[in-house]
Amino acid sequence: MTGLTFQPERTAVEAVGLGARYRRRWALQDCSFRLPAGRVCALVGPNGAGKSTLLSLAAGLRRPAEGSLTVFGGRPGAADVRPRIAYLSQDKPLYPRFTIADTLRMGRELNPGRWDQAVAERTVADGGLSHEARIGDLSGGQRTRVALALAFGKRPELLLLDEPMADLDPLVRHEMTAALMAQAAEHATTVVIASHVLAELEGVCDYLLLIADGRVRLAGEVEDLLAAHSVLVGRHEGPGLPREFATHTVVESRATGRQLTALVRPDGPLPEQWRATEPSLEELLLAHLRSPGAPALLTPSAEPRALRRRLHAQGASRLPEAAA
Amino acid sequence: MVEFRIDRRSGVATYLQIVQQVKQALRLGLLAPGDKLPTAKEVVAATAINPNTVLKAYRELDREGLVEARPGLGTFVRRSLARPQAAAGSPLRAELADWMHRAREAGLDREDVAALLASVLEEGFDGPPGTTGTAAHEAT
Amino acid sequence: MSTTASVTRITPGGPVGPVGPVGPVEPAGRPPRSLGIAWLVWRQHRTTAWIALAVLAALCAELVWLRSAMTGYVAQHGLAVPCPDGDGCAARHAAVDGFRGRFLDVIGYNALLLEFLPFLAGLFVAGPVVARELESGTYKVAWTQSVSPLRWFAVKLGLPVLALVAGASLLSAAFTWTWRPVGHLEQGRLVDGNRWYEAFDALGPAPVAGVLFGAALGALTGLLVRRAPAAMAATVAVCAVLYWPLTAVRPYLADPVTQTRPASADYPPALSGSDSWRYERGMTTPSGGRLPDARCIEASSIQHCVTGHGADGWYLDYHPAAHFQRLEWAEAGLVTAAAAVLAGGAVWRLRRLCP
Repeated sequence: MTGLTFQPERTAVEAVGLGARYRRRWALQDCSFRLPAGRVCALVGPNGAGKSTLLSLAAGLRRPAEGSLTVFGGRPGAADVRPRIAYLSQDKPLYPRFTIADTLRMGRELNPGRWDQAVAERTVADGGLSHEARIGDLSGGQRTRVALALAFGKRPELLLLDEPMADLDPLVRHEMTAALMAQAAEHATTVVIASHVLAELEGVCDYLLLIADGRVRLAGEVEDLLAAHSVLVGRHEGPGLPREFATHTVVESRATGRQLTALVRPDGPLPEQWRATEPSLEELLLAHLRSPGAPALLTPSAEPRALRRRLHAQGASRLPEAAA
Repeated sequence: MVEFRIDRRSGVATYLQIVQQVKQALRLGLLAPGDKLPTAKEVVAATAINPNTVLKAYRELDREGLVEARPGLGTFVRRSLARPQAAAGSPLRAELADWMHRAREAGLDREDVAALLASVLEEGFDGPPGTTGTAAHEAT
Repeated sequence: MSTTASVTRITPGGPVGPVGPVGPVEPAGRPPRSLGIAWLVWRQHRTTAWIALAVLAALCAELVWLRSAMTGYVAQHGLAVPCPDGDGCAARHAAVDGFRGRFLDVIGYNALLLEFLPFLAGLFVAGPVVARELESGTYKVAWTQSVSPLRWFAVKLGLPVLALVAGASLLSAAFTWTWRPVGHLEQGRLVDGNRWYEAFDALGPAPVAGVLFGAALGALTGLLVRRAPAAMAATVAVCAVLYWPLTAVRPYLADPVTQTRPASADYPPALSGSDSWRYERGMTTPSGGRLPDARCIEASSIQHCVTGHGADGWYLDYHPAAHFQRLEWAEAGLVTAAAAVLAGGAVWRLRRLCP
């Protein structure tokens, strides 16, 4: 029971040089990352960053324009991969004239040999919903619950959720998150939650994928990413950055009077006269979103295995931190 | 069984909150050797936190020798942290109660007493509570 | 920080151990049979299907009644045998008029309905079957279950098309069966306006081929337009644009019979009068060429008019009633081929749409 649900050696999702495009506009470009199985991953980024595109690629709803994306080692649309993925799109489309019972029946009919009616029914029953209620008559939160029941009933190994909690009140949001986490705990499901509401993700996710402008900015374990950064506060006057910062990667720095606050990726010992603290998740994300020029950072577990092998073959010991 | 209360705004890592709450329950005698801790699924179903966090906390408690995992059965309490020296009616507790009475007579209010206690506590034991410092101390 | 842990009950009587995963539990009673995608398609369109079935049954009953009423009338007035010369024929004219007054409108409405079946099929496939699914995003639910998008589309389009073809076949067979005993009597005068070449689209294999055409067109426009109302409107427009010209080539699908008459004759060959489809009349030149009909029949001297155009006679192209089956099947083949081309376009579009 003390074994973690994640299996670091198994790969749930892996992207190498992934690109996707709507007509002329690139929604994703040159994305490379890896998500180990059993993780609960936050997919974060501003609106229009490419979160939904990435999820629909992983769900097998669209094809990449370039590069590759694999789920459990296969193409997302492949016959042996599709049954293992469940997907909840942002608008949670369901057939409005179906009853809840019809909707669950659809899950059973379209997932032969996989469907778990008991799990789906329990999820619906926990919300106090009648099986005879029509989907069209449900509130946004109730629809989300039915859509989640449909996803849970499939017994997925990878659960992709696009802004799942956006239209839920705090109580239902807590309930649904709890149901989701229980599902993940029981079946070691890999979960990806796309959101731009940070409060929704704190404490829930142990893995992070930050994308902005269609590119990966941060990827890896939340703890490791936080530990790899420091917030430095100290006194500094004059133009430019202090010389003692030269050895470190400065993500963002702000001067207020004589005080300088900087978020850095330390490389070696930090200067003595600066007060260093570990950033909060929010500080880390905001700093990266405000500084599009900062190099991307992938922790070792988030480096694509395929890319890694290639680099090792070339004699490189580590993936360069700059993805671009 | 225990029920965990997770405060996401406290600034304390979630897994540490679970570790501390189990220890507190062990100290107060709410959990006794042989008791079963809730499964990760039960905890996350109530608290909506990441299951890996619960498992990490249990692993930490296991490492400290407070609980043990029995594969296929669950996680069970191995030993208690309740001490007779700290129980109601013990001489140490009586002395502290007496001291508290005198502090009140001297005109100290609740906050003054709390600050004084915290400061003395800091001098007597190294490091803030809940860190590996005290964990190591308790494990030995 | 409040770290007080509250005690909760231990599961009463329950074994100490983790809650194992609960296996799939079917609801009490007989588990429903698994039909896969077919169930989903049926559930989505069952209201439409029941209404269509009820309408179909009512129409069939109406056609059975119509046929027995018409044959009864024919028998009662002795219209089944040719008119013997003499006094009987005057009464016969009255009987034919009576028949037309009583039945012609009903036959006409039934024929009209059958002629519009391709449009109805196109509307249904374009809107409710295809475009609404793409418009509302519900296809994403279907595509992220365990079945492949292509298989889902195949069943989703296949079942309604099968049902439409079956319904159209039954209706067309019933109408043809009703029409046939009276269609050729009195040289077709009983069903004036719905003779074999006028009710052509409502008889035999024509409605079935037309429904295939409409459905294929509906599928293609639905996949291209992806908005239900727009796709339905586009289907009707394109169906009108494509389907009517297709029927314009109809007379040329089989070799016609040509009747010629010299310019010296009093009148050109008549354009109507018998059970033949006289579709083209014109003038012939001495070299054997053909000239269009120059409305010489309205001139004061027809003969002068004809020779004035440099012609020396008349010709008339027509299909006798015996060509009916040949023309029906030739056109059905052509329309089905056109439907196949449209279906090919739909499949091409599908392959581009499906990941």
